[in-house]
This record gives sequence, C-alpha cells and structure tokens, in this order.
Amino acid sequence: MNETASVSGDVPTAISGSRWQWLAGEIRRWRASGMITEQQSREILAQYAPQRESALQIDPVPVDEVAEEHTGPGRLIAVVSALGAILLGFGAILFFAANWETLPPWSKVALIWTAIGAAFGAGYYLRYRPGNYPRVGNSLILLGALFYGAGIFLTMQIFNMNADNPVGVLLWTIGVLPLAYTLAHRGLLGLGLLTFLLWLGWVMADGSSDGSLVDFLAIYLAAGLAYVALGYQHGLSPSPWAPFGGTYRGIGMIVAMTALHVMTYGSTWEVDGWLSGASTGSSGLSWAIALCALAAVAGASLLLRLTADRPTLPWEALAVVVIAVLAGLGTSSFGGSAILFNLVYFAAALGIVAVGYLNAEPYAVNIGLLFFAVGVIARYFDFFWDLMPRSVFFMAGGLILIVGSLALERSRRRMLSSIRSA
Amino acid sequence: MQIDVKWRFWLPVGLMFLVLAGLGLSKQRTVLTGDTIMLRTVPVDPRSLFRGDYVVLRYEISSLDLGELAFGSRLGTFAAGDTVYVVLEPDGTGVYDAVTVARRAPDLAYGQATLRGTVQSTFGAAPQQTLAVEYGIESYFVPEGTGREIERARGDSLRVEVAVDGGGRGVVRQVLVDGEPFVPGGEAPTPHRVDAPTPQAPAQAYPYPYP
Repeated sequence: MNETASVSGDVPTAISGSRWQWLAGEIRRWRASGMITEQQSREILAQYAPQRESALQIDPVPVDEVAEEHTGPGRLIAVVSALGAILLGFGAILFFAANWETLPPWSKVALIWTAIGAAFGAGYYLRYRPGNYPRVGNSLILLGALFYGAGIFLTMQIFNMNADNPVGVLLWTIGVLPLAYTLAHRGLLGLGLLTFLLWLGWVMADGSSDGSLVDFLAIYLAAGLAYVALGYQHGLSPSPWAPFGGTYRGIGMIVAMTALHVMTYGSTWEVDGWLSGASTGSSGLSWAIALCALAAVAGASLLLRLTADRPTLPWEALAVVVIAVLAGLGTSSFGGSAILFNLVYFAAALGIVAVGYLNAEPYAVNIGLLFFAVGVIARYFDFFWDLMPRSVFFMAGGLILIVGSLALERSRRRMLSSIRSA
Repeated sequence: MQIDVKWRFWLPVGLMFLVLAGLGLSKQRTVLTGDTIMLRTVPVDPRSLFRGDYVVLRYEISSLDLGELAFGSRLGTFAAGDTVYVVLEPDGTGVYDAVTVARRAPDLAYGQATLRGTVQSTFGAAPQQTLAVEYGIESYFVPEGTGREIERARGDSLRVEVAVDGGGRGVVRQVLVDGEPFVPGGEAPTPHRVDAPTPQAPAQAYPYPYP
C-alpha cells in the first residue's frame, strides 16, 4: 500500500515535511511500544502527505522501515553495521598511531583522505540511491566521520603538535556535528556529543593540573544537564531532529548522574579524602558556567513549553534548573556536602525513572534504576564497611543485592509492561 | 527553499576536508617559510591514545629565569596562561639560547628568532620570577616502540631542529642525534658531545607530505 494514500480513498491532508517526519517518528514509537498495530500505523500515516518545502527536510523514510529501525531485524542490522564501522574507525586511528616508518607521511595523508572520501561516497550511495542499503549506508557515513578523526590525529602527529593539545578532539566535534544535523544522523550526533565531552575533560585536565576534582565534576554535571535540556528542547516541536532528543537525553543523563555519583562520596569533600576533590577548592568558575548555561537552556525550554499550544508544567526543565542551582551552591563558597548531593542524586535517579515511565521511554527507566542501585551499593559500603565484621558485611551485602535485584526486576518489569500496554 | 540532498551531504563533508587541509597547511607554511633554529633537549617517552608513541621534549628555554634575561625583570609579574615571546640567539655551536623575553612580538635583530609560548606555571614574583613555558613543540612522534632509542641518547648529543615563522609559531622538523637525523630502529646512538650543524645549513630532507 502506498503510505501516503488514504485508506478511505480521501485525499490525504498535506502537512510540512518536517511535521510528517515528526509524526512518522511518533507513530514508530507507538508501534514499537505496542500501542498500535502495523496496520493502524499505516492508516494513520496515510491520512497525511508530506510537502517538500522545508529547507532542511530530511528524506522521509517509509514507515515500516522507520518502525523496523527500532525493533526487529532492521535494528539488528543497524547495530551490527554501526559496530563494524566503530571497530574499523578505531582500527584506523590505532593504525596511524603506530606511525609505521615504512610509510612516508605523504602516503599516509593520501591514504586517509582516500579512505574518508571512499567511506562517505559509499555511504552516500547506499543511503540515498533507491533500492540500496540505507542502514549500512548510515554506518559507512559514521565510518567516514571516524576516519576524519583519524585524519586529524595523523596530521597532528606528522607536524608533531603537542600531544596534550586538545584542539584535535574539538575539530573532530566541529566537523561531525554539521553533518549530523543536515542528515539527522543519530550516530554522528552521538559521536559529536562524546568527542565534545572528551574535549571538555581534556581542557579541564590540561588547564587545572593543580586543580580540583570538584571543578571537573561540576563541568561534567553541567554538560550532562545541558545535554538533557537540549534533548528536551529537540523533542518540543516536530522537526527532523526530534529523534535527537533521546540521544541527547540518554548521554546527558548518564554523564550527569556519573558526576553526581562521585559527588555523593564524603571523600570528595574532605581535604585529605581519598578523592580529595576539595584539597585545592573549587575555583567557582565551573559552577558559574554551569548556572549560566543551564539557566539559558532550561529557561528557553520552559518558555517554549509554556507558550506552546498545550502549556504544561515542564518538570524536566525545572529539575535541570534545580539540580544546577543546588550543584552550583554545593560546589561554591557554601562548601560541598555529601549529604546534599546524596539527596540530589537519589532524587534525580528516581526522577529519571518517573520521567521515563511518564514519557514511555524504557531507556530512561533503565538508566534511573541502574544509578539508583549503584547509589545504594555505594552507601552500603560507606556506612557498614567499618561497622561490621567482613564476613557479615559481605553476606549481608549479598543478601541485600539478591533481594534488591528481585524488587528492582519486578518493578522494572511492571513499569516497562505498563509502558508497552499504555 | 529545498536544499538538495547532495548539498546537504557533501557541503559538511567538504567542511571536514577543509578543516583537515587547514590544519596541515597552517603548519606546512611554517615548515616551508620559517627560519630554522636548533635547540638542546632532554626527552622522555610516553604514549598518546590517538597518536601513538612520542617523546616529550624539554628545552632549556622551557624554564625562564626572568632575572637572568635582558629586560626580563621589567615586564612585571607573569601569570599562568600569559603569552610570552622569547627572543633567541645562536651561541658558538649554532644552538639557540634565550636572550630576552617580551609580552608582544618583538622587533628582531639580525640572526635572532622568536618563539611564542604560553606560561604554564610561575615561581616567585617579579623581578626574580621563574616561568615554565610551553611552545607547542614539546612532542616528537616516533614509530611504535622506538621512543626509548631517543631517550637513551639524552644528554648533550640531542638537538631539535625547529621551524619558526614570523609570528613565533614553531614546528619541530626533526630530532638530531649526534648531529644526524634520528633514524628509528637504527644503530643505538651513544651520548657524547657534538657540534650541531649551524642554522645556515639545516638538513633539507623534511618528511612532510605537502610539497
């Protein structure tokens, strides 16, 4: 059946290409969660016809392919081919890092330029030529972006640019993100977001050799929260980039929760603690950056949401602002407090579970539960390591883990099945 | 307005190639047009995740005692992150030593060269301040497993040939062991004092890809 032909024979309603793309994404999600059948998904989509008026319209993908992307063999193919691209790409980086003396520099440059061109050319052909293999094409485009990173590091190696210079990683991000947006390519977006995080950490490590772990954590917390807020922003309106919301939020949640987790240890805030984050104190710069960036991003999200067609309270944007403010205060002149960050951490973990449940996003439920469990285990070690005999400590810990995992699995299963049957 | 998929794809890809070419050509310009200076060095051998084995090169000019340099004590107190221009002059063996420093690109006398660096850390305060400076020429990448060969040759026999452009940007051309270009996997060099080649006659076999 033609997807854009109405089942009832009526003329389909013309909507913008970006709106159609958003609708297709939503239908894909509903179908993946079992809310509607394949037949229903086709019938709903057939009521609308996309117009090609958008300046950056992403090519519509047939709804069955879109749905298959997230479930079934389509997802398997996408995952396997992306894994292949990642292995090949990192293999190339290591190959050039070996700096084989038998290959003169000009031949290495020629080789990497050819590899980049070939990967992108093949990716373009497979993704855009009708009847070809769009998923493998997507992976080859990702491979081209990894080769591009290898090219940057090769050039820096040839000219002996300082090994601690983080500019190469930033150039990688700058090169990858425009292509991610023009193609609405989630793999490229993920690569761009990860390389940006790497650059951020590199700059922090380089710029504060005598610096503080707290600054480092605050910057990563800010980056993670900013990603969550940006993901929220992407999902607000129908656009080709609406599916980016999940990528931003998934990476952002993991990064922010990891940073928060380290802040929950008392040692982070003790001058002579084993983490000794506070030994040189926080410069205050990082939390100021965090607050400014997050206030801007979350505030914009909040405004957009309140002025939208159906204004609702933007819980996620508010949560991002609250966590940013608490973290800002906690890492500044008020002095850090493990108790404060424990409260924030466990509230955030449960909040992520709740948001995942309400938004029917299983990945968020899983992330929230994982960090909640890790937090509980960490506190168990903190409080009982010195208080109990070792044998009792481990046996009690094992019992808690087994009982806890039973409870976790039960509640997780109940939530996921509730999401699916919603 | 509809932008064709060809443009949406190939324009950002073209941007990537431009970034790569810009990165290489900016350095190649310094290599081709810059003056050649020779510096004494002491290497150590670590590894970069993305770029493989390299030796960290430490120079005499990596640590500057402002009190011992002409006009150095008049420049006020430096802080980490400040830019500093080091004016260099060749000694009798052709190796360049720091003669003075400046906060802005200085006018150079005949035979002088300048390197632009960034202050990494400081000790003391003006006029007797000591600066740890990084010039962007502190890494030399070598084939995997050969870093120790250079390290074994530490001492007075090691020189680094650096191309320096008018703006003080430096690019390491090659490392010389006993006056000869370092050949990985070659005969293990023995440390002893040699005179480095004069800057007027630098080695010309630069292994760079952009002609």
